[in-house]
Order: sequence, then C-alpha cells, then structure tokens
Amino acid sequence: MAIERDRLSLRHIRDVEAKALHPFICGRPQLDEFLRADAHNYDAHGLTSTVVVYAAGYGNPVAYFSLTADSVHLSSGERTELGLPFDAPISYYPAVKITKLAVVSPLQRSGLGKVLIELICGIVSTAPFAVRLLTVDALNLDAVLKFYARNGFLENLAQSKERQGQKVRDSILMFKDLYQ
Amino acid sequence: MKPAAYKATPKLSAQASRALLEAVGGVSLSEKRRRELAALAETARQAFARPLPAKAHGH
Repeated sequence: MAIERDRLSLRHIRDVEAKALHPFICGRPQLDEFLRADAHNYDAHGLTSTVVVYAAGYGNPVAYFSLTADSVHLSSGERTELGLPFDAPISYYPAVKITKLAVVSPLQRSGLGKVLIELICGIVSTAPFAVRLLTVDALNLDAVLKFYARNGFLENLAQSKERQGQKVRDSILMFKDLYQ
Repeated sequence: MKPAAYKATPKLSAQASRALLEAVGGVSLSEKRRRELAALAETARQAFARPLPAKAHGH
C-alpha cells in the first residue's frame, strides 16, 4: 500500500519515548537495535540525529532515518576549484550523510523509502548552511543499491569498479547531488 | 563489540574525484530545482507539525 506524504508525521528522536520504539522491526537486526537501543544516545552526544516517521492508520513508527554532517574530500590532484566557473580553491564538497534509513517490513516496497529521501532533501536544503551532496554507505546488496540508484544516487566510481572486480565490501559509498 | 553505526567518508581517489567533478562541478542551482527543494522542505515542515496518529502512544 502506498503511503502519501501528507499522511506522515515526523518527530525528532528526542521527542519520542524509548518504549514507543520497541515494536519497530524492519528485518535487519542492526537497524532495529540501533533505533531501540542507541539512537537516543547518538543524538544526545551529537553523533547522528534521528527522525522517527509515523503514518496515519499506524500506531507505531513506520520508519526512521538518521543524518550526520559529512564532507566529500577530493584527491589532492583534483582540487581544481571543484570544477567551478570561478576561482574557489576548495578541496571538498559539504555533505550530509544518511547514516540510517529503515522502513518496517510490511511497508517495504510501498514507496515510503522514496518519500523519505525526498523529505531528507527538503530538510537539509533549508538549513542555514551549505549542503551540496547527500552521501550514504549503502549495504552492498542489489536491492539496496538499486533503491538508492533509483533515487538519484551514484556509486563512488572507485568502489563500483572494485565491486565489479569481486572485491567484497559491506557497503558502497554513494552520492546524490541535491542540485540535480 | 558492536559494528560501527556509520563510517567517515574517505577522501576520494583521483579517478572518483574526477568523476564527481564531472557530474557536479559545473552545475549550479536552477530555479526549477530551487522550487522543488522549497516544496519538499515545506512538506517536511508540515510533517513535523502534523499530530501523531491517534493510536500512537508513548509520547
């Protein structure tokens, strides 16, 4: 069942009691455990900030995502003004990393993940500081990589080649340009 | 020991840096994209302000 944007409610993790998070099951124990046991602490110590997602008709949280400030540093040989049409000798792009993103099992493949990526784009674009890229260390699984690719993320070229060369990675670094 | 909750983004290789520059370097924010992002931001703002579902508990 598709869930529309105007049926979602968002709450910062600090406004959600721990007991409300216990029923959350997305099928990946690490993601479930992070929300239940760690998300409050990571937020309280300024490490990653979690947003809990509710949907009309569902009594428990249906998804969550966590965000952290990030930067994408270019190799020293490629710091050629970021390819900009003016003189700006900057060596990195400001970014925000999606450190966690999970949807409860019954709502996976409902389009909710796509909606969450869109909301994240909106949230980070209104911050009173520059953010050009979203980054994510996507689980190295076809379904996960295809999800992010469908939502405008590109694989880090070097890691993509390594993956094609059968080097095993747990995750693949991917980027999304907020301006495109 | 728990696995890392997230990793730092490593400095890109020369090849990956060039690829990123080619994809992003010459692009500035268009008016169309600015409006799209503004609309998404407003949607997110409304979602933060929207009451929780009636059955939600523990708040």
